Amino acid sequence: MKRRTIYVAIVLLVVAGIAGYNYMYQDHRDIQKEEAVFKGDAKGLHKLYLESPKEALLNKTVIVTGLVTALEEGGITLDDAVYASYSNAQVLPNLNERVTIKGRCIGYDELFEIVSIDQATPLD
Amino acid sequence: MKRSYFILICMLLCGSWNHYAQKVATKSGVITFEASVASFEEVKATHANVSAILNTETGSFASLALVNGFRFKVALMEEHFNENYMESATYSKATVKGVLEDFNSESLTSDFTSYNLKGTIEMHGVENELNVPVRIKLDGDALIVETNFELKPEDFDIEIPSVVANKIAQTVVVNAQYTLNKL
Repeated sequence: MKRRTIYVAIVLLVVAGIAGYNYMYQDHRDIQKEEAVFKGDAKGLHKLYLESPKEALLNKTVIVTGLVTALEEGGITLDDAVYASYSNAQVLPNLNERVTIKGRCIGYDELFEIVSIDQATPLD
Repeated sequence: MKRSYFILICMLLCGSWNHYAQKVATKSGVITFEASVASFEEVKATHANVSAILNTETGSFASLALVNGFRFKVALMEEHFNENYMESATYSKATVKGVLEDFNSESLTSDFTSYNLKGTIEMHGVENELNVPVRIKLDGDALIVETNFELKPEDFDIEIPSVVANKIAQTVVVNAQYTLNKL
């Protein structure tokens, strides 16, 4: 009886340990697999962000189409309205190229008056 | 005729002056902060989409980091950082505004020159004074701007629960790097 109790306690400890580890080290969000709350052009997203409550788009997945109006290290500006930084190892498009990207909206940059997106990847 | 020459020379001089009286900026500045304690899980995050603008005539500098853009190695830590500590749904940005004292863009070289940035830092809805050293150098047409400084969460009304207080350093070390290009 005593041995059985020890076995049960060990199994419970192992299960709790695995559950705790999985909780602690859960995966990051996979933006590419998430449903987008916005699909449209860059100027449309800019307008919607300013007109909507912050929580409508903040930290949400969006799909944006626009003309590349500026290039930065690791990121692009679309129609002077949206800045999107690309996920690692993504090749940036060319200036004046029309692209559609999927990424996470991280807020409104008041210095440049643009909506900012990170973890962007190009969609075909 | 002499008057035309005079106007032309004035226009050329104004043109060259405007060359220096301009703004340089980036949307891809990098800020890293660390508040790790030895023997515990690393508390470190990086933000690679920080924007910044420097007026090279006046030395006015402004930088903005959207709080949701800080990335941690551990997803749960990132979630707690946003939801429990920084409350990024409410306070979505952290900003620095100030002036580089005695800044002179014409004296910049390819070696770092040290300046003092005096201004304010605002995050979590709290504004504090900021007085930190900044290093600047030329790299082709770009300006490289770097700074390191320390912050205390309590100065920004950020409460660290006692359960995890011993796993998070009381002083947060901040490193910022910008490559500023002409607008």
